[in-house]
Amino acid sequence: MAVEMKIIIVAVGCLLLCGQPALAENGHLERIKAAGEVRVCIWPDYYGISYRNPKTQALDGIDVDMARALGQELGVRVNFIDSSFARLIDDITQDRCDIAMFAIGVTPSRADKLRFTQPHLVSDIYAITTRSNRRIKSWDDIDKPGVVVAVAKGTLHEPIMRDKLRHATLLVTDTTQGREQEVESGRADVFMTDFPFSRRMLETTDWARLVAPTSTYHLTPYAYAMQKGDDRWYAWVQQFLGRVKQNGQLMAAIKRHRLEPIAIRGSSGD
Amino acid sequence: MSAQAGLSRRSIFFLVVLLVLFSACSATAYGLWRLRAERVDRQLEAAAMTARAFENHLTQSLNVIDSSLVSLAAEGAERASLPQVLRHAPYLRSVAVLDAQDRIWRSTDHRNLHIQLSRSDFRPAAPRPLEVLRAGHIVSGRDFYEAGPMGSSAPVVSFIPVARDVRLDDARWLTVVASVNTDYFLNFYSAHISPEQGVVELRDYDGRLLLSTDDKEVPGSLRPDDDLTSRLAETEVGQFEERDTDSRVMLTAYRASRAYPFVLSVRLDKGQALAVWQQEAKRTGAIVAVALLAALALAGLYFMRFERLARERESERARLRIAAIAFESQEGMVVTNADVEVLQVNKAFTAITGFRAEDVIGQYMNFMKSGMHDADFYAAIRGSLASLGAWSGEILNKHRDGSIHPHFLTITAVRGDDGQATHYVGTLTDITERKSAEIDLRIAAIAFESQEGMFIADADRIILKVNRAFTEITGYSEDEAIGQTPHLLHSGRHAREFYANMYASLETTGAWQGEIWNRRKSGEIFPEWLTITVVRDANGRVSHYVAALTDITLRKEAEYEIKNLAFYDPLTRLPNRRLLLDRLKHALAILARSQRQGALLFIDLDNFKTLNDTFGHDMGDLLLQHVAQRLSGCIREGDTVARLGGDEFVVLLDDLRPGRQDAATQARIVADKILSNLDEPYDLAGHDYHCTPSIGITLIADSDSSCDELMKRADLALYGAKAAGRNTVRFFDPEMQEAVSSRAALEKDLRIGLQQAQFLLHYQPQVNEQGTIIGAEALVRWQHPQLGMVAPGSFISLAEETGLILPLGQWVLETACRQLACWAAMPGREHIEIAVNVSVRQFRQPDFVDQVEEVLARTAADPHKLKLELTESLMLNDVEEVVAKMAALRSRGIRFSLDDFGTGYSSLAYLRRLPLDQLKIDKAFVDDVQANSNDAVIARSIVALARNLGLNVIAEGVETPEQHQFLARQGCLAYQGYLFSRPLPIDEFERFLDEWGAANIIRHRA
Repeated sequence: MAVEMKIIIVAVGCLLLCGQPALAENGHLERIKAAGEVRVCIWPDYYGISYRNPKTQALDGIDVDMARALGQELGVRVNFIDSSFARLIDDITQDRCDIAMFAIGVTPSRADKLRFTQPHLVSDIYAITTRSNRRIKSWDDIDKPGVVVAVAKGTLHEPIMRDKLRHATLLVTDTTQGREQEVESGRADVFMTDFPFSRRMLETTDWARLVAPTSTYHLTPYAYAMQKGDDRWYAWVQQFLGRVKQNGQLMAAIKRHRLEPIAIRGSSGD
Repeated sequence: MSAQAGLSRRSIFFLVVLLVLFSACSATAYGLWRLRAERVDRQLEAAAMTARAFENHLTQSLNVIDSSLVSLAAEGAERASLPQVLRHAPYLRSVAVLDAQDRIWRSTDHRNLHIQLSRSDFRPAAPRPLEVLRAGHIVSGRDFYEAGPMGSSAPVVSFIPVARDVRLDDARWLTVVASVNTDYFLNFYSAHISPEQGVVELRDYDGRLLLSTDDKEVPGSLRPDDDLTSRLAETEVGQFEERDTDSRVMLTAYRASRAYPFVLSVRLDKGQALAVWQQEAKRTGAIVAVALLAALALAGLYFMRFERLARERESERARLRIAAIAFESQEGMVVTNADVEVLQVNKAFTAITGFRAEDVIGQYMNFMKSGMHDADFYAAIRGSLASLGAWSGEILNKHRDGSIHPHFLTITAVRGDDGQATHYVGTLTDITERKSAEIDLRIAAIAFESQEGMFIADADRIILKVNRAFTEITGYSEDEAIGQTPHLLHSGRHAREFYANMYASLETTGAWQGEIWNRRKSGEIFPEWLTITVVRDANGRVSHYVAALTDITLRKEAEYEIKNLAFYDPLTRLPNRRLLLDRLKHALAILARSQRQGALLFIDLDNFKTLNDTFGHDMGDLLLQHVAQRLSGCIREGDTVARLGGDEFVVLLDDLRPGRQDAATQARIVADKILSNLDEPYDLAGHDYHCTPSIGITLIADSDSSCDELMKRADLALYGAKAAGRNTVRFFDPEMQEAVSSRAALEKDLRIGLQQAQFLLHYQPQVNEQGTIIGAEALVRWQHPQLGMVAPGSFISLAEETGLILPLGQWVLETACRQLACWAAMPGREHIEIAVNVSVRQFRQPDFVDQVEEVLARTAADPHKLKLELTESLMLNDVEEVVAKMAALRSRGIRFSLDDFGTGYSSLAYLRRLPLDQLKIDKAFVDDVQANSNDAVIARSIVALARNLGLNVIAEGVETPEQHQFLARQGCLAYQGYLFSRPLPIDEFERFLDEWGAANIIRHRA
């Protein structure tokens, strides 16, 4: 631990000293320090990750916790910027936020545009249907003729399901609420989502029914995204993540939000 | 405790237990039943509430649909934004606007376009436009574009088409339709009621099922005849119980929509609802059962304890009652505590002892101690109480007045549960009277049953009672005697006056005693000593006679016996010495005064001692009795036969003719008669026995001779007769007296001689056939101070008679042995043997063997050189004993020679048995071998016999060479006699030995 700390300090010190002339002007880190705030993109509907309670407007979720930890580490305020999967790439590339922290699935298309940190969660795909749906009893009933599968546009599920479905009809909604409405009204039979969101559905509605894959369907690692190119900022965040994994802060947050089933244990540092 | 009480108590207990059980069970059952009813009620209520909530939801949903459609229509058919309607309406799949021909003109789902609908499919039926939301039958399919009729099973997806006619401002009508999402309602219902809990159904007024949370139900099916339909006709809201198709009992609540033709029913599974209750009931039942069981067990235990206590109380009460009754009994009772302090006494105690309760309560229980018993007595009582818990016995106690009384006392220890005595109860009875009466009776009984015969007669002399001794004496039993008078015993020996005197004495003195002859039952007359006492009553009249009688027959006989013993010989009943002397004295007195003569005859049986010794004293006594009888038969009546003792009889003839010669002749005749009479054989218990007497006679002529003198003379005469060869008669003469005197003197000298060692041994050589001297016979000689050397013939028999033979024989043996030991050390003489004569009397001594061995030990003589000469008379004794003694000595090396062989009556059998070495042919045969052929035969036979028996033979008394030659011819190998040498004193004998050895006379002469 002490040795690692020394290495980190040396590394940080080296970066500060060595990279100062080249990146001092437009680096996120400098901007954050200068502004006294860090802008963090979140999707406020992401239950358990970055959820804004509609009743209190308070933010809650593992990545909210981690963002606050990040801010504390940086010694700056955290400015949460509402985003979504659909807007994610724009928000990052256009520098509306310094980092997106809402369990972003690492997909090739996103990786093209964004720089992902080391993943901290990994989720499979889950289906949500209604209690009374007679078509969908199990995962295997999904890819059948006549079945309508809804996905939200821009989510990682869209390309995956487009790729995977053979018989069922894919219905892409513009919003995430749209897919829920389609399923609840019976116009679609299921919608595809990830573990945290499925949890939200089960906990907040009384009509939703979870259909889990019978075996691993498609695992997606979740990480934070940032602009490409700012190595110092990226390195800093990576070091931060290393630290919180190391000191258990991350795992404590995972546990607090009951996300142990999707925690990446092997790399949690313990 | 009475059984009745126990029974009733027990039945009450069981009744109570049953009652309690019953009430507990009923209370529990009632509670549970109430709970169940409540549960059912609540469930029904829940069903009703749920139905109400669902109806509310439905109606409101339909209201929203209605208003949505209305507002949609109001926007105008062309402009209306249809998707907007669906945004927050999950209960709608799609909305559409119909054209004038009721075809779908616009729709949120383009697939629905141009589908022809029919107004008549919607209810309520309205041929003309109606401003009401109307609903059609449920349709299979996701939306109008998929619509198809309902199959036989529930469709995977369905919808209910609804239509709304909206009057537009321009008075035109626009019809808007929507497909209602049935799943929305099902989701809602099933979120609240699980399939296990129950079923929620929606139907229309036609009784057509629209929705059911039960998958098995087929929507669209008509159920016009079921319970709900008929009830609905009466009321729009209700609840009831029914049985479903699975025959589950359902609690059903229904409610019709307030505004639309739909009815909602909620059916809750009663069983499901009651499952909780059942569980609860089971739990409650179990708890109650356990509690009841525990209570029952406790009650049972309590009851048993109660029962026990009741029993104990009951028995305690009974005990107390008994104790109370017992305590006031006639016996004195006293109760003390464990420390023996009096707690209570009863009235009888006071009556007996005089001690009142207030005197003694609290006192230590020793106030009655009489001091008559020692400490051991009281210790025994305490010991018995400690070990057995009780004591009873007689005790002397002191009463309050100080008098001492015997009590029969029983003490019982009352023990507590721990076994320790808590109280003592004493029970006492005064047995003073009983004791004295007992004693009197016992004395009387003992007295009556004494050794004296007793009888009690009444005043009329009738016998009332006799004792055992009476029966024994008289022979009359109690039965025979009672009722009789004493005349029963009358002997007839007494005159009438005797009895008259007796009764007179009784009358005057009240008693009589004296000797009386009575008759036994057997007829025997016996003497008795009789004592009669008169018993008088209070008035002085005779009431009874008590007679005590003693049989004095024995006393009389004893008197006679004593007299007899004094003067008569008990064996022969002849006068004894005392009476004889009495009579002799008497006779002397008479003879002195008359001219007549008398004679005294002493008679002695020859060999009587032998008879006694061989056949025993009984035989001897028998012979004496026979002799006495025969003697009595030989004399005249006035004469006396007496027995002095042993076999000595005396006959006193006191009336013989005058003149010495005549008297002697007369006495002689009597004596001969006696001789011949006694000579006859006797029959002694079957044995013939022959015996002869010797008789000595002295005449009673000289009046001056005393009794003693006469007796002595007769005795001397007898001695003379014996000396003369027995079976003969001798008269007393003065010479004889002289001989007797000298004999007495000789005996005296003999004793002195023994003391003063006046005896010495002479040795007569014994030679073998070669003439060699092989030994000598030791012969005793008496060197008398006055008479000189006395030959053994003069004193041996006297020594035998007087027993002096024993010390003499001992001396001879010892001297001979000393000589042997002496010779053993002298060359040329060591082979000499010595033969020693042993008398029968000497041999017969029990310790003879020991004596010989002692002598041998003392003198260190070689026993092999010692030869003991025995006589044949030895064989008259116990042969076994003789053989044993001889064998014992022979084992030491001593040899035996049988002396004087041929003179006695040696039996061949005896000879065989005796461990002899040598026979000695008697001198008598040797003397006459030449002259008497008989003797020659005998001598020859003896030699042959000896040879046959394997014995040596020695001849004694060999005096002539002829005799020697004769005997040698017969095979006799050893000799002794004057031919060789007379007996020689030791020094001469030794000299003779030397000379003989040198000369060897025999060889020379031969």
